[in-house]
Amino acid sequence: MPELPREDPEPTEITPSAGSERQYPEREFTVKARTQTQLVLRRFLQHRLAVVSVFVLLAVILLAFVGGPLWKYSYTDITPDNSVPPSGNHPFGTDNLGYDEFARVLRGTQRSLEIAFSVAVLATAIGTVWGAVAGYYRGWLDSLMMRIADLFLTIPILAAGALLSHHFQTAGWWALALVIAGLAWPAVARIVRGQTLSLREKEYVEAARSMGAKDGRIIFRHILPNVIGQIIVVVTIQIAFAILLESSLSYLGFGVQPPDTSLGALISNAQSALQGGLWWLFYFPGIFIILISLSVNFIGDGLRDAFDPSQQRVRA
Amino acid sequence: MLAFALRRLLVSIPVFILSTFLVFLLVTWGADPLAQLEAKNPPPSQAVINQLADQLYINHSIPARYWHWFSQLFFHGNWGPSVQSGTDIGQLLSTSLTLTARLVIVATILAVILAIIAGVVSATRQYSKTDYTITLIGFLFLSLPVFWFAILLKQAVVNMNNSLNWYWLSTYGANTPGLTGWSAFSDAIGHLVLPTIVLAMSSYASWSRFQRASMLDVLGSDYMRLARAKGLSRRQVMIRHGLRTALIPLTTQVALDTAAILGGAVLTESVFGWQGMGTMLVNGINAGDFNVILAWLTVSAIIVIVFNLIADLLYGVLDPRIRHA
Amino acid sequence: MSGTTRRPLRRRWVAMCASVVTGLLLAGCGGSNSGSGSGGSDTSISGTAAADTFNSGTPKQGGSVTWTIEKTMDNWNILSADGNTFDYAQVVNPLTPSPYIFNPSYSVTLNTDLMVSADETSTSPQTVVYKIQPNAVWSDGTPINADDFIYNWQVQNGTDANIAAATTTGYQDITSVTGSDNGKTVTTVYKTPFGDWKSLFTNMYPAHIAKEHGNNEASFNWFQTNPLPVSGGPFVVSSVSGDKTSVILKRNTKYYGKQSPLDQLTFRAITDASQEPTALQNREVDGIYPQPQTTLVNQLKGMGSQITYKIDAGLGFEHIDFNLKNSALGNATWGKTLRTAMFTATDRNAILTKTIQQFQSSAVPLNSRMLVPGQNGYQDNVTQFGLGEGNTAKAEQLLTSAGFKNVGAGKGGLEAPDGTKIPTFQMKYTVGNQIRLDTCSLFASEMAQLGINVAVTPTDNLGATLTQTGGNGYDIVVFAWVNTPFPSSANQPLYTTGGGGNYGGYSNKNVDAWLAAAASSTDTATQISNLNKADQQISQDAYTLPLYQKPTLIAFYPNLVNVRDNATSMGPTYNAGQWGLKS
Repeated sequence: MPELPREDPEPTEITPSAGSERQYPEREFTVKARTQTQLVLRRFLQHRLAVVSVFVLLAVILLAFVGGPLWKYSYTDITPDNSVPPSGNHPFGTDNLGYDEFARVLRGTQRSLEIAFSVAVLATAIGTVWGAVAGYYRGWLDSLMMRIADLFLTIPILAAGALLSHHFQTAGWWALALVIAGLAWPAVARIVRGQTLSLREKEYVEAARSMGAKDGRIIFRHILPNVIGQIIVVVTIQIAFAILLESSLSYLGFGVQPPDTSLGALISNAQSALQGGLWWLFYFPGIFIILISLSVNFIGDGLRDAFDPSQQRVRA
Repeated sequence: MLAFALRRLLVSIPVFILSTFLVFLLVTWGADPLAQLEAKNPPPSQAVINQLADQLYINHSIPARYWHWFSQLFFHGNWGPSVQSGTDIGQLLSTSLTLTARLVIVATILAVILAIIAGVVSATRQYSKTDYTITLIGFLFLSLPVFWFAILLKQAVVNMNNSLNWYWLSTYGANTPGLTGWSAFSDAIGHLVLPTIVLAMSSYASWSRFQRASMLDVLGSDYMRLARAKGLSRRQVMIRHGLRTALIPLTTQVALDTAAILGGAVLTESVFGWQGMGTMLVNGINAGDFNVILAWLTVSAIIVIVFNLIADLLYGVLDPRIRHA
Repeated sequence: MSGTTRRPLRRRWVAMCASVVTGLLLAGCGGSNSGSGSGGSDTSISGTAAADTFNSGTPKQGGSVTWTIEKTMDNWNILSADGNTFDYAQVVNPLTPSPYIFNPSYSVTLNTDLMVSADETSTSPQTVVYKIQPNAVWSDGTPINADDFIYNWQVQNGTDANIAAATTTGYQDITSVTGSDNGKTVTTVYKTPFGDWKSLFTNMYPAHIAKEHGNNEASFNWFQTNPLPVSGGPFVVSSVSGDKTSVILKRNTKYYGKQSPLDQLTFRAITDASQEPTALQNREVDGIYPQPQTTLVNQLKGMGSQITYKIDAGLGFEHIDFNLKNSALGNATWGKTLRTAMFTATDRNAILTKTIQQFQSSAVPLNSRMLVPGQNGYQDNVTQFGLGEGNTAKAEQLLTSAGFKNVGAGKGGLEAPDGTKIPTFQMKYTVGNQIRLDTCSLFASEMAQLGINVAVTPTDNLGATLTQTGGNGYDIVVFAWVNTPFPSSANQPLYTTGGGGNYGGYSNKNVDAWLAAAASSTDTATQISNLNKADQQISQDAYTLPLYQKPTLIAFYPNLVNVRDNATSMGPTYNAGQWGLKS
């Protein structure tokens, strides 16, 4: 196995049908060719911060979803300890009503992650299909679909989110996630469309078309798998974006409402806690937001480098 | 070029009109202008409620309401009545816009300058300690909730003021009432510093990453090597060929980010108690003030569309490789 | 009277009865007392004589003070439904004359700067004669006279449907307002007796300015959007910022009473209460009056002797209400037993411990719906009926002996004596109000002990929930009423059959009669005895349970004198004309 990293051609173009890594064409080289996945993984592993971030993120997710239910206090438990600083019994202290801040932060993290992942998955799914269809068919359909996407881009998401989530205040977190996703997809659609436009002219797409493949099959089997790199990067951006947007909305009072809580809502309630000496109420939820968002951003950066190594080459 | 500009302008008009319709639907769905009045205690009489409903024209079908609003606005320059007492929407818009523009413009300039410096330094010293530090800071700001940072900053400044017994830097509002002349000016600057830093930092983070990437792109290109080969100094190459080319994507990115900057301004204003566009929106939503929210979203749509247009045009002007028929 | 609106951090309740006065009477109540030192205190003094002299002293001449309000100055007419807001009243107080002052001790005293006398000269028909000081003038020199009384009566008596006045209470009972003696004597005659006549004619707007702006309706609206061009109080409007976030008042040099020591009084709007301590600490304002909250109070404590703060028990109070329109709660045969058992199991002390006692250790449960401690005639009308003591055993016993089945937790749910299954009750609180949410959570867990299910859900429209309009409604609700120094007229609509604020549909003929007697009587003793009789009956019927007085919080720099809390609807600026800086 040669250990030196290869100078790759554009990685998204090397496989005629990247959907299946196993069917790799015969090559004349004696060395075993690496699959796309292997290449990406190799490059990703070189990004040390990104690798660390994966572990951090996994740890946070585990803590929130597994640790939360296991922890001795629930986020709704009113403990007899009011406003106590962090201790063995209350690792993150308690607030003035006796809520265990650790339980609340875990619950908040859970909510924030649920919202962020739902937004990312929904917005990416809608945006990907929308962008791919527009880019593949081009012409008037493309114009129409992209103008519609443009329409959504003229509305600042924070404003529309605030307007609508106010309406949904009593409906719960999923309504909030729906609203954010409903406004975030056009950004994804733009990126996917751009990629599709160039991919649809490739020979292997022509070939598939001439063999009578249906449009749907071409889009989903031949084009989208080759955009997967960009899409994954977009997903990470969306997650980081949604975490911050949710916290912003909660800060303004338009997000998750009690008795439920989120990281943004926790900070919003702890605004004056910092000066009031209850620093733990302010710092812990903030640190969790930063942990999640920072690790997601680093993972995104690592993935970008892995899927598109051109940025690592410097010749000047 | 002119033809392209005109064509883009013409396309923008229907986009704008449809955008106002979408916004209108959003607001009809999201805001109940009668809620506040109905919630009053003692409850107002049905006649008073009906009177407001009439004024707001809300007992009609949505297309009729939309047309009423649209024609009032574009043929009569009338934003419609507000349900918040004593509020004239046109007047509110102009004072809010002026205030927010002050904040946004200063912050954007600051963010762009910082982003360029950081991006260039980072790219030219790729993988150096400097690069790592700048990158880390960039990522940190990218991942920070704006308001969290703002609250920390505010508290730090208050503590500093208290220990210095010097209260130039302010944490609330855009100015101290009742000052004139030089002291008013100095006071306004003292109020501007903190929100500007906060707003600038949130844009700086993504722009510095962006600038670094496009700088790397340019540095790796053949013409850069050619310029070096011609015997130009490293500095000359950097500035004249490298930076100039690498600025094009950033310029358009800044224009495209307008909507996000407006969103950031809403948060910043909320933390620092500025009575600008952000406060106008938040108050409008809390009061279910239909026409105020509508006015806000319409103005922001205009701003976003205009800046998208500018981004498109700039791209054509700045990048000689793009020629428009 | 008003339900507290949502998001307690950012709003304050709308003041009731549009009753605000400029007070200038109490100057020179001796030297400063121990209460005026810096640092903080949460010993309640409101309603006692000490409240009237807190932080009193002799100010030096000159200086400027910046006070905080929590809304931008969008409406200048506090008599209007739209403008009837506590914060606006703070600004309008020093600009408009009132015959009576509502003091921090809850006493109501004649404003002798403005009035020579005000007397009830006859009870049948009820007649009140006001004599105005001969030198009392508006700041443009126009005398304050009967025209002003007539104008303020006409716009608030409800005869013109186009005028959206905040309240018509009392004014609608007046038949005529006539002037004599060059307008300096005003005679008001009532068609129906109105006991709380001293609450009327507070914050009078100038009739001669109104005349310049059309008919009553037009001028009433004009006053909403325009700062008062003249003043009948110690200050006069100097400027208003374009964004309405600040109002600068200057000393009214034509003032007929004692001149204000301050040259300038600035009001600044800070619309987010949680930011007020920071602005205070950064010397951007000199004083604040936010709704207290643990973290906010901690923040003030952190400033140590740099500032003075005072936490006091206010006139507003939180309470839990049942909706008797619910078929179980309002059941004619066993509903009362059920309600009594539920309130018996409610532990008010537990609620207090978790909520306001965190920052006001002296807080105690409130035992009256009609009056608060410090008000004349306050007495415990609650505990003798066992309500609010958190006695689950007694509650269970009540239910069991009345024939209820499945009493207690985990027995499959309570059943009424006639076999009806007690349904899950919907308990509502204002969205985002953590303290009310916790009150509801505690209540729900106590009810679970009895085998009663209570589902706690937020409402984002308390008004609609209370009035049960537009698909909203409640079975149990927790919210606040704000008392006034005039309990008779204020409480009548809340518990009278079909009354405007009687959202839960309570009806008792005796209560109706007692409340009517209190409202029409001008004798304090009669008023009080009737109110207490009604209160006891309501306790016996277990319709509502008062929880605690909402605390108030005032904080300012110690160099300010004569600045003090006033828990009545007049608020701290009731004596703004006496405010000054320490010499």
